[in-house]
Amino acid sequence: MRLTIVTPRKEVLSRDVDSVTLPGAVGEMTVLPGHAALMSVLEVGVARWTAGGEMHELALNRGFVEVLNDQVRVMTETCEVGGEIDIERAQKAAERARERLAQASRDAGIDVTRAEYALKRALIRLKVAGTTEH
Amino acid sequence: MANLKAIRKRIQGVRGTLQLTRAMKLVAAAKLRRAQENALALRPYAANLVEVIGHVAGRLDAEEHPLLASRPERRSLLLCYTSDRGLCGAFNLNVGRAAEDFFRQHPGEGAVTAAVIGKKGNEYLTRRDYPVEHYFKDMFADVSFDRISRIGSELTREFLSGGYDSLYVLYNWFRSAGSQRVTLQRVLPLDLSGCAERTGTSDRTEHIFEPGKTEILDALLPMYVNISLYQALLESVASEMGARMTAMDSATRNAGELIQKLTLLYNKARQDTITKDLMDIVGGAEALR
Repeated sequence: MRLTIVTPRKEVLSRDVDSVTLPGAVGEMTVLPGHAALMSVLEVGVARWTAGGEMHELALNRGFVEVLNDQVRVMTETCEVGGEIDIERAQKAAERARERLAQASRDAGIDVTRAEYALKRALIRLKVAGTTEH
Repeated sequence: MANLKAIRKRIQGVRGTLQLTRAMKLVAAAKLRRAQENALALRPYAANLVEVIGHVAGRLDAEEHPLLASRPERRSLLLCYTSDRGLCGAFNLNVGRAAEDFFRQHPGEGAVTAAVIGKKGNEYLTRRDYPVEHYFKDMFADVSFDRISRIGSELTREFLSGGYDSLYVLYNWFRSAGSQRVTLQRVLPLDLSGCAERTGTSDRTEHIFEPGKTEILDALLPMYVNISLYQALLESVASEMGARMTAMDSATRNAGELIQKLTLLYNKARQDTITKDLMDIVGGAEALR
């Protein structure tokens, strides 16, 4: 089964894998060889794929996936593997998003959806980077 | 006969210009390479997106999504891609002229409004009193997908709310460093026939849609719009750098030729004064005899 992950910036990955787990819009889903043709919206979250018994993790931004004839095509706006993630930046982003959410009850000008999205993205990146908060 | 000092000064001036144009040419060449790399990096994503859309497009009616639905074109938005800086030949002028043509072809109050990327285009159109609704500033320090996708989302929202009935982009298509062609392209409402063709109609697999087809289209189609706008931006940036490279190359060559001519003139003038001085000396000696 072929897994391809692309962003507008680059082709992140294109290789044969045994299974892929993706953060689908209706919940986490695992794709194995022989899966039926499928299209799904992807949420911000962690993607896991295994090949040769080893598991790998990636932080995904929003996007979509198509499964067709043992081809899994993931298109996302950004995607990072553990080693690439700037932990400090992600922590700062999470901090900022939290502050904005805390202020949101008083200040109507704050876009809650956007702040929540930013927070979620930052937390996923931290999770993949291997640092646990709290 | 021009005097020696004036010619020498002139040569120095031209030499300064030559150094400047040569440096600009080198910078443009480096930036062109980066722009081409960006365009190359986008290709896998764009190709996959087109293919996936193609898989859905074959079974899609225009009524199924508001981004596909065409309505009578009463108001159009024309997004013009220009540059912030000059000294790049006819790069900006060509877009400006094509924009004027577009306005002329769509007469009537409010039939066309412009949106502009790049200072030069904004200056060109506002000076001629064309309606510029959006001017997107500072696009070129960091040519990123994030920025253009925010613009794309804004324009898509306006299209959906009925602010205008169609969106066109006008940009320099990059053929080579020496040749760019102004291209007009309709982005909204979307025309997916190109995607369907690329994929081929033989593929009739019925996909499962999660959560539903509408949600998939809501994610895919705006992305397609943004990618189209991003592609046009990358083309335009590459074209700008190509145009500047060519312009600066010929400027450098002209300056070199001018220096040669002036040097010849300078040497002639110098020789003339030497001859004149000699004549004076010889004449003086004759007189004393």
